[in-house]
Amino acid sequence: MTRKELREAIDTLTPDRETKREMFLAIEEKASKPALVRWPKFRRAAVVALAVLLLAVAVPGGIRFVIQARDSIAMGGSDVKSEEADIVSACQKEAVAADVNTEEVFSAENIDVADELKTAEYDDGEFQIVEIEGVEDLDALIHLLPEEASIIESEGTFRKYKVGEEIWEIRIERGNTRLIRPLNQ
Amino acid sequence: MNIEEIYLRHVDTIYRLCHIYLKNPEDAKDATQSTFEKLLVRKEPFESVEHEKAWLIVCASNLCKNMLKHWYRSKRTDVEEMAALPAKETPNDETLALLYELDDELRRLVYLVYYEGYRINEIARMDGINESTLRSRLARAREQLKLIMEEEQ
Repeated sequence: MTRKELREAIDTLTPDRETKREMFLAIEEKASKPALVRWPKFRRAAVVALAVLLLAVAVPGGIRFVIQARDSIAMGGSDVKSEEADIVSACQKEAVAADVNTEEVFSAENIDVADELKTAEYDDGEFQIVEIEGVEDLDALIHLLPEEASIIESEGTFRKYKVGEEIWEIRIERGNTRLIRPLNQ
Repeated sequence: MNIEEIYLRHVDTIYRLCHIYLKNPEDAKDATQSTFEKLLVRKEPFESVEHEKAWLIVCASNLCKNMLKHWYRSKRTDVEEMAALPAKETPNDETLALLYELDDELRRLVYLVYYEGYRINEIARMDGINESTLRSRLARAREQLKLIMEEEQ
């Protein structure tokens, strides 16, 4: 194949006047349309991105609402139960307030921090428990440990501390973080 | 930037390049249109006519490569099915048919060097490829063209 033959062959690919005109008209037509019309793919991408954004905002909120509703039902749907719970809670608070050791641990400053984190506080007769709902973080209650606390055991979901003669635990259970310490008798 | 002037200056080059890449006039038309549409959104002015032409060549080449990838993925057909279809519109020219047997990149290189008169160093700068790589590609293209011709004779 000679260079001349190659050139002649490629010459046959040159578009004719009509093709050129047709292509130019198509380009002009697209140029005259606004950007969103000119690039429907872009528009589609924008719509999809917006939908994803809305879902990301709306769905977790929706899930949170369902969880809260379920928890409130589980904790007792009636007002009577709620009142009973308030009374029990008040009694527990009084008992806790009377406890000298508790005062050391739950100083005013610490209680403020704990309140900000939506903590629940109760005892089961044997252990005193401080719980943060919906937080899975072993460090979330670490500020409640006294200074002399030293870590003696650690796993993915719990840590044990030696505090004087007592063993305290911070544990993640059912999506909540709990500080468990023996109740002083 | 006057689109019409630029279009008239380079439409032949770009259309031929697209045709050589895509091997059919309809796809070549689409690719040519898309190339000039890209020009519409370009804000910066060109330094020279040569710069303008080089930009369009690179843009058209990239579009054609994308189209080929897309074509390969979405319209891949078995050889048996192809045989059953009526023959597509292909140039009768034997030389062109031989050219079409080269790889995509080699076809483009042959076109730019032997038809558009570009030098290897200019294409290397345009594509950001080593000159020696292009030289060896061109040698391979020449060799392939020659080999194909020998086989067919």
